[in-house]
Amino acid sequence: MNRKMREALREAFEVPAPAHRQDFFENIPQGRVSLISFMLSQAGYIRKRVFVISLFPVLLSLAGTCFLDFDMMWVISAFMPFLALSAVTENFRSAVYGMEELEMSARFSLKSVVLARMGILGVLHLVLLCLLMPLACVHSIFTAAQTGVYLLISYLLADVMGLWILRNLRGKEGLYACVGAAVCISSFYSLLRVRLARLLYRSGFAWAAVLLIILLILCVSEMKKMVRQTEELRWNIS
Amino acid sequence: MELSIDRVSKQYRNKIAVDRVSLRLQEGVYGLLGANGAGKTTLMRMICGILKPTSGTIAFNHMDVSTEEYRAVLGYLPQDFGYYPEFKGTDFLYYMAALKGLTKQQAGQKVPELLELVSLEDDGRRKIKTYSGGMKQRLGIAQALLNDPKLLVLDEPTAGLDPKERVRFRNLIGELGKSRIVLLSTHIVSDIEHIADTVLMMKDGQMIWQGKWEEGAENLEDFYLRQFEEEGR
Repeated sequence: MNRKMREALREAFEVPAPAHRQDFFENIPQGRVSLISFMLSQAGYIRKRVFVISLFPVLLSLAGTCFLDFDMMWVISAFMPFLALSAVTENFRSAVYGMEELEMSARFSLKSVVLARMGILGVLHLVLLCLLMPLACVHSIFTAAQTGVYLLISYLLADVMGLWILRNLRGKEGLYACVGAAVCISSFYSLLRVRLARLLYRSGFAWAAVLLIILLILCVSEMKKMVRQTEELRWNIS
Repeated sequence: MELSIDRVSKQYRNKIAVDRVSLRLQEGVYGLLGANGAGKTTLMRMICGILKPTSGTIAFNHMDVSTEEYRAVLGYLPQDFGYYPEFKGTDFLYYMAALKGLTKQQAGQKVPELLELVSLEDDGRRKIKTYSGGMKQRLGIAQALLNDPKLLVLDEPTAGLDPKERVRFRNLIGELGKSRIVLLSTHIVSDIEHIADTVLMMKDGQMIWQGKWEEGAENLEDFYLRQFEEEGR
């Protein structure tokens, strides 16, 4: 059919209105987002400052090791509680800002959101630790493995305390209490680093390893309790 | 399409918040009336799967309330909800769209549509903390509609809305109720009178009355108060 004929037909006849238009649209199979895509998309909703705070110990370590010839292990250990704090508070954002109910009723519920955040930040911090271990021990009397253990102890101590606090204190009070806990642990490491160094050097690696295992078990336990808590509102005031 | 609530109860240490409520809801608008502490919000939270019943079952088209498939067809507006402080109106809707499993393309189409529906098209790029109470409520209504839910649960949806917005909201709910189950709870009896096809009344965790209500019939508020007096005898 040539173009002129087509145009003439178009002008001569009125196109009928579509019938059952809405039903047709509703029956078109919609693309669905997979769980993996959803979890990766959550990375975009983690606050940028968490990633900046995560990079800070690496940069600090580089500066201290390369330019200052300084034993950075204790400096980084004092910073680790704040790194843990950034991850813990990010996991509890929904509770702090009152988004729990909305997130719990969505298809990818609060449990998926929290697991996604924990997974993304957990992997990031594990990579950071692997970078920090060789850097922080350069001017230190400890080996890379020992440095890793001592850094992890500082991190996990803040992690366990932060998770326990936020499970038991709602809203911003919990946040402030977590900051307080991080400051206390950091101050402990900063003020007592000389005594700690002597203690660790004399008593050996074994005690630190035992403490690390205990903290790991406590951390996993607290995380399980936190995830279980996301399955149901703990409070119901009406 | 059917929401089946079978002998659902919620008990705390020394209080029964919801006491053996059974309902079968089909398409239409259901208005849930009751005083403060009657158990309306507790019941709604159980229907939305965010509180676990002490006993009983809740299912939509044979999908249990605890499943992802159930939540995929659910839209919920809580009585009070928060937001992340850095969110603008559009950011909030895109975030909720991601949680509801919409692709970016689907969200890109739905978000502007819904902002226009709730008269927030000019305010979508502003931060939510600058919104008035009514604007925030309208944003909440918009997020509840993102996934085109078959089951829409609205807890005090007209709180904070001015009279003009309330009328718009009533018309919207009336339209939505033609092809889905809409359950809304409120203290405002006139909202129920104008919107709901069926009225459900709760007192002390129990359903004390349920039935069709037609506009022009007896004054609902008088009827509601009489139910309480009869229960008290």
